[in-house]
Amino acid sequence: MKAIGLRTIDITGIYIYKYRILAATGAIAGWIIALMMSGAASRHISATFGNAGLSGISILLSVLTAAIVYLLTVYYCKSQLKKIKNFTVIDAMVNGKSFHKSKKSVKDALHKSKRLPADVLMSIREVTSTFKSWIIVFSSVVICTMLIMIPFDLLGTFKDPEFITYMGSSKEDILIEAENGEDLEESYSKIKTLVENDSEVKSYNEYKRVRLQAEGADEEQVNLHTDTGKSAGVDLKYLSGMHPLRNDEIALSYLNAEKTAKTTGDSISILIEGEKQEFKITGIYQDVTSGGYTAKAFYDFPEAEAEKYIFSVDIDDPHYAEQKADEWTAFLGAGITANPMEEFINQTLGAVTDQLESIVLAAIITGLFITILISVLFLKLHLAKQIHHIAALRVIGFSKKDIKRQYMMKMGMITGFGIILGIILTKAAGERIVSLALAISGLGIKQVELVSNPLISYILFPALILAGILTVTAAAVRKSGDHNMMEVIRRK
Amino acid sequence: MKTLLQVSNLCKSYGDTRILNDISFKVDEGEFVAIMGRSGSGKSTLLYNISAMDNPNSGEVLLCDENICTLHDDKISEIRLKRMGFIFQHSYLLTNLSVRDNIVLPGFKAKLASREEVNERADMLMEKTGIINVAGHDIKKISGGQLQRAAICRALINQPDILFGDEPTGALNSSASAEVMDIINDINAQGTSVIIVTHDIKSAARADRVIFLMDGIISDELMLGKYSDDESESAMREKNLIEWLEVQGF
Repeated sequence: MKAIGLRTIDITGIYIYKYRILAATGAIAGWIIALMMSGAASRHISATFGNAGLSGISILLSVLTAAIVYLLTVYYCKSQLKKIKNFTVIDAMVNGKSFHKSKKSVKDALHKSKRLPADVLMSIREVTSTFKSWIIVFSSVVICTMLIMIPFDLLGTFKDPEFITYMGSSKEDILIEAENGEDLEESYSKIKTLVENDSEVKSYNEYKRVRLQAEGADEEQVNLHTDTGKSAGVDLKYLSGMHPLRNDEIALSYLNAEKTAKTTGDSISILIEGEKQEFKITGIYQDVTSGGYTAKAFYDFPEAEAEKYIFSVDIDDPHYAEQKADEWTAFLGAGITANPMEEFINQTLGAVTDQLESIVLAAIITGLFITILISVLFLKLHLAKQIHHIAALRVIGFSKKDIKRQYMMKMGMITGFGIILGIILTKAAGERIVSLALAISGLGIKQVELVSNPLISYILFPALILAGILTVTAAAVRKSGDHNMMEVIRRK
Repeated sequence: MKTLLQVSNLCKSYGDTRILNDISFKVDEGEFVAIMGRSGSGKSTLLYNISAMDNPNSGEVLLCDENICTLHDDKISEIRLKRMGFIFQHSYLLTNLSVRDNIVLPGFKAKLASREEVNERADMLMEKTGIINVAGHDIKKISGGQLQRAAICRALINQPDILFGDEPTGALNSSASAEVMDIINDINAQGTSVIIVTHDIKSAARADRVIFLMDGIISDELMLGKYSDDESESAMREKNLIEWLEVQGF
């Protein structure tokens, strides 16, 4: 185009409008698909924990993300097209120079190698000396690794027995609950008698659930679903502070602390029989049950009507928890349920973990698909650009098999480095990313400790990514050395 | 003299266009053959077909009695690596390696000698061709003449039986051309057979024999005998060659 007299600005324009349209179409399509998918993917989560609704920040973030993708793409295209200005017709048509001028001098080091085979040496050299040209595949592997590992670790966290600490409950063997009803007090007595007299009960804690009215920010009235009792909140993990120890102390769930704009050490006014009483906030904990809006108090509020009684019981042999729970349910009758803690978690979180499993599966498929797609496109372009390099290797005696082997090694190295960095980044930032996402989602969790399965995270997933990329590499480079050397050499 | 390369009834076409038509000739061990002809006469096609870089449509090319046209890629690559050397108009060195690394690479790949021996031979070749001072340099930072000498060193690292050259001095000025041809004559004097395709009369005049190709067939051959660096003898060889080429219509 330069040779026939087109100005640089005209040539740039031809390309930039094309890239603007492509980037905008991609960003808008991605945004719409993400909106459609997120509804389906979070159906059970919304059903279990309640729907936080579309907040301004979540809409803003999604639009901002799509806009950033568009702007980054256009910026990169523009920065590449700027090179047209400094590129002469002679460079392109006579000297055969490419668009990318390497300023880096090559290392004089290959001859120092004592043992490594020539194919390995060439692969290492190409990856290290032209790493910038491999950055697209490398980045896609890093992102793919994180995209797969973070949801998987989150799933592991939801399935971990320790997750009970995010549910505002302690970790006993059996949970007995007497729900609201006319004979609630009678149910309470029945349970109390049972746990006092059963010889297999090792220990138990009892809580009374009451609904309290507290004064939030701007004197707004807030309902606090409060578990009361001497052991209330004792076994929980606190974001700050600790469980209440005195009658005038209370611990708030993270969402209640946000809603009332209170933090550890502040006081909160609670209405008891129409009168305000001050309680000191001793700690803030995470809770995904009851929409995340709960509290724990040492004082048992005899003035307030009980909504529910909860007994968490440890028995001598936890292996018989299910059997014991069934026995007690049959004995205690209607309105009272006794469940092994594990079943309680499953009942509460089963649908959510099922949903998360689907999300993990979708993440694995999407991550692999995108990485494989990028790898194939990259290899096609790279092979076209490297045709003279390949011909030069063929001329000096490297076979087609050697060329393929070198590409397999190069892609293997790039993928390996990408996976390692992906794992490091997941370990370093995964919890923060998940915590931020959970905090935005309004689930009641602000800070989560991810639980990973080392065998799956560090061996199975990396092997899956590596196998996927090497399979498509083998297919893409199948005909890499098939060019007629004579034609390639004479075309230069 | 023992025959090193025997070409018999070689034919090559691209589509309906026949480039080489029933070509037969042989090259002895230690012989230096130059192939000349007008543009489009099929010189380079002949060179690439007899060096197994392209496949002829029919005929055979025997290298030490082995037909290299029918070999599997692995085997023919091994022959290119260990028994053949190539130099082109452009050096065709690998841009991500230094001069020295480009030269030792085929040596490391062939494993005919230890790494130390390959490095020593590379140093010896670079010393001989006068590029030892740029051994560690980036190939983008050396002159065309130095590049071509590096390409010759690379071609000779595995001590091949035969050296193929496609216009090896085509991109060089006259003094650099003479230096490169001096090196090629030295290599030939040590027993390596050489086949070059060239338009350059001075280069062709250094060969033992010149084959003239016209429209895909060998129209004539000129025997010049062994080259010596005696100036008057060189001038005589060039004069004879020019006269012969005029008869060929060159």
